[in-house]
Amino acid sequence: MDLSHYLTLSAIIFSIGLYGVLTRRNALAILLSIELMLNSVNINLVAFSHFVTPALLTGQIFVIFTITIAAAEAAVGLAIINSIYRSAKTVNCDEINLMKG
Amino acid sequence: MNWAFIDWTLLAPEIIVLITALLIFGLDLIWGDESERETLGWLGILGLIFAFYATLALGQGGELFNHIYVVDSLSIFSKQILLGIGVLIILASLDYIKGATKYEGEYYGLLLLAILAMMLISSAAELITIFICLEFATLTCIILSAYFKHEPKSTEAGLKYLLVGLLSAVVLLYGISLVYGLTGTTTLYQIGGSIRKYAFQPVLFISCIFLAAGFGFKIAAVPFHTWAPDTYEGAPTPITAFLATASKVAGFVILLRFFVGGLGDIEGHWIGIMVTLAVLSMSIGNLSAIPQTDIKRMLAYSSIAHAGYILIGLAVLSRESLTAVLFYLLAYAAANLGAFLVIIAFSKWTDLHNISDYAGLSKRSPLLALSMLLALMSMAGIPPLGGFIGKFYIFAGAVSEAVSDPERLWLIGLPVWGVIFSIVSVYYYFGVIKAMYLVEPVDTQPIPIPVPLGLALLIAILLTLLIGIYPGPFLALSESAIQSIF
Repeated sequence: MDLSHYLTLSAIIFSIGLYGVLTRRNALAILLSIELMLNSVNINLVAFSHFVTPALLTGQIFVIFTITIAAAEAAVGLAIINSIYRSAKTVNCDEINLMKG
Repeated sequence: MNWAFIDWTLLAPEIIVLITALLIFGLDLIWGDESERETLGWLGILGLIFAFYATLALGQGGELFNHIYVVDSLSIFSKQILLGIGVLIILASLDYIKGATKYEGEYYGLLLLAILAMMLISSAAELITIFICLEFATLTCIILSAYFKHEPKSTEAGLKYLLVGLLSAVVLLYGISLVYGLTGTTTLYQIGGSIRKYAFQPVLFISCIFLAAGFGFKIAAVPFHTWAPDTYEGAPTPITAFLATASKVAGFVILLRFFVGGLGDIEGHWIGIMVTLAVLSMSIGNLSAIPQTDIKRMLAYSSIAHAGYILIGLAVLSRESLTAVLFYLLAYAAANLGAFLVIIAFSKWTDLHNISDYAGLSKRSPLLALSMLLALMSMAGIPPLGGFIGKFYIFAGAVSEAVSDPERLWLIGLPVWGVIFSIVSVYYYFGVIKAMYLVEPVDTQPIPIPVPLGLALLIAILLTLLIGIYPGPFLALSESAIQSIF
């Protein structure tokens, strides 16, 4: 197992997540896809940390921070989706379109 | 690390803003009476003014934690603009937010936290710090745009900002991880040193695209602008003004620090990206603004176009043009605040947002109409206002660089493109001016201007005039700011 295996895995997961963001219309599913992309970056960071700077733990510390931020994102995101559901009675992004142009 | 050697006074402005924000959250809990909530806004203004004084005492600045956090002339310049914008936004919010929501105190607290986040962005010089500060700013801005949670438009604005914002953050993070993997370090200062050896590295080019996508979202450059029109239209108007000015200033400062300061030696990798973003933003921003009927939406597209003009300065990459970038940001922020403050006063009183609703504003409120006129003329680039001087310096910087270096003669296309679309922009700005001055009002009732908002409007408009008539000191300020990175 060398670095390229990890990078390939991460690139594949990133692409799957991006595909999900672009095709899914449910706001929750989009949020899930973004989390998937975030985790692919985490694989990247840990792999770089192990192979490029084995003596330092920079990449792994970075991952701890991104996981924390992902939690904060989820909190804000779910709160907003919750309040949208109360007013629009849907979380489908195609139907949430008061503003256009 | 020896904590005794850390110069905490360099963090004084941030600490003051943070303490004020926490104080506001605390007092909001303790005070039950609604009428006392306005005091919290004034407390916020007081905190920001104190922080502004603290930035004046920073002097030459310095760096903290091994170049993770730098306080140089660029970050001091940006912090002063951000604090100034913050004061004006709170002044404008005092009347707007009263009665519009039950949660007044938290509004001011969150606004202060957003300003704090943007101040941190302008000093961050390390990949982890940059990412965390950008997310801090994005998340607070998302909450503020969705602040009126019972208004469908406001929550929709929040949702769109959220989804696009998170996506761009992840893309940015992917770019950051590639830069880290290539260099093995996360401080910009060391990245600049170790990256110099690369002639052309495809991976680096790809990571530059990812990074530009992440920062392009913050400055709302095409094609990462899709959130801007909806969020600007739906968000509470003071927050729209905040996003259009503060968020853009912070975005450009981090863009300058990252690309010019960090990756400045390998400019071949990213100049093409900046040129593409600039050309697309100018054309699509200006052309999409023409058919708009909602004034906030029109200004959203105009702010996208302005991001395009400013990006010319980055693509040219000379001392002159980078100075012009900072100068333009100052002029743009003053004029945009002026326009949005008029919209706040108008929409609070009438609850109307269409350009046609501004018919006969000159008869209903000559002061508001005059302020709007000056702000829009500055944005259209008509002398002798700030926007004209800003555009002039940006375009002149590009032309003089193209003329002096035969290999970069193609740069002359950028100012030409910019001038063409500036003329296009005059059309839609004058649509508003025509409605205000030439069309008879439907409703002749005069519009009152609340005193704090009037004060903020006066400051913004005087600044727009001053930057245009007497640009010397502002230019000297921008020049000394850019010296710390280029």
